[in-house]
Amino acid sequence: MPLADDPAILRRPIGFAVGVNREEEIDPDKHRERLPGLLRFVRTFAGELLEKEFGTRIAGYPEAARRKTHDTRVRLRDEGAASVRAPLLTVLIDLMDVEIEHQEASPENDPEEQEDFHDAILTFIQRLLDRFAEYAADTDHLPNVAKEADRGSREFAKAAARLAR
Amino acid sequence: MTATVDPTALDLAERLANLDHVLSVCLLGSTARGDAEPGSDIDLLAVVDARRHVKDVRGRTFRTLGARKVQTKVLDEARLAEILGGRSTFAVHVLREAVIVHDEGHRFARLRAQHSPDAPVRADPTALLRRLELYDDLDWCQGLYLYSLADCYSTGRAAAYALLGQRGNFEFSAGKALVRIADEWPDLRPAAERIARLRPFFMLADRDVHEPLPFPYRNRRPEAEAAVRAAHELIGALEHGAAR
Repeated sequence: MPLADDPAILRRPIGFAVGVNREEEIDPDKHRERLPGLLRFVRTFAGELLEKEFGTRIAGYPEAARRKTHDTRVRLRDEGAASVRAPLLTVLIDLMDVEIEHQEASPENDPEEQEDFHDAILTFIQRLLDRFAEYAADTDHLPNVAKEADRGSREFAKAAARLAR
Repeated sequence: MTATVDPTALDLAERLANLDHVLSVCLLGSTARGDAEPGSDIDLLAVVDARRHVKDVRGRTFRTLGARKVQTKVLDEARLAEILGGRSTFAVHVLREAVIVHDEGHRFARLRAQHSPDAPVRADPTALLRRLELYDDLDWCQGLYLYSLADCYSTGRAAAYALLGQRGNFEFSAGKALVRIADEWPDLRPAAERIARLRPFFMLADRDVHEPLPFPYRNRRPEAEAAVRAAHELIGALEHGAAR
């Protein structure tokens, strides 16, 4: 069963980005606290996408999930079906790599690294939404989600720019 | 050190101790308690001489060993002192259960001796509530509840440790902590039992370890909502801990 064309799947992270842009003053601590929520969104979204669109069930996030996502990308390439799918899978692998690299980053453990991690995740979520919008437009069965991904990408770009100032 | 220490964990700890800038290495978690099961995580703490060496040492640690996950916290001495003073659940776990494998000049032991292992945990329910924020509404999961169930388990487990620790009643094994909650607070029994049943989802989502699942994780919205409520209930008890 393919992914449902329901923009609700992107509502939570985009709501976070919109929230950042509505606030007059940015409180970096408050936004960093939302990082676990963004990571959970990525896991669930990756799980849905890979299972429903690519027939790959992932578990053991991020290490085992990364291996399976990589294998799926290789399989698609061998089948000559890479096109817009490969970049989407590549960004998921990049997200998993960032998470593997910063697994021990926590406000308690290393606040500075946690900040780098947070900024990297924002950038990659924006890229994920970009690639997903392209993928969804190409497959032609997810018009509403494609539109929402496009909006989300713009919101994340604005949030990242504001937080970087 | 006790005779029950896991030799694989000990070997990893000794290798870590040989890295440059590492002052102390301890075993944490089930390997420190001596109740590790085959496939249990290996949890290590490495203390380094300066903050600038944290990243380098962390980059040299193992993440997995065969099918086992290895989690190594690398901290500099100053940061460790701050953490121990904060009395988080992690800090109290280190004070009470860390097994020292290597300790140059007894620096870790001296630092640990400055803090009472018996003073209660200072819990922060806000951080736990943030972890559940994403699941206030489960529509966006599109019927895939594996990760929400896994997160409810890890959040509920953290709340259980903190709830007990807040009263100076320390237990850092998830299974035992949830049983103790159920025994000591009958009104929390259903929530604690529900969270305990979610462990296989956590093992699958986080570790790729396949244990029999109590129910399928697809399209079981009522169970997913009940899991979120149970985690909230344990955190709520933590917020009102002093009054209980």
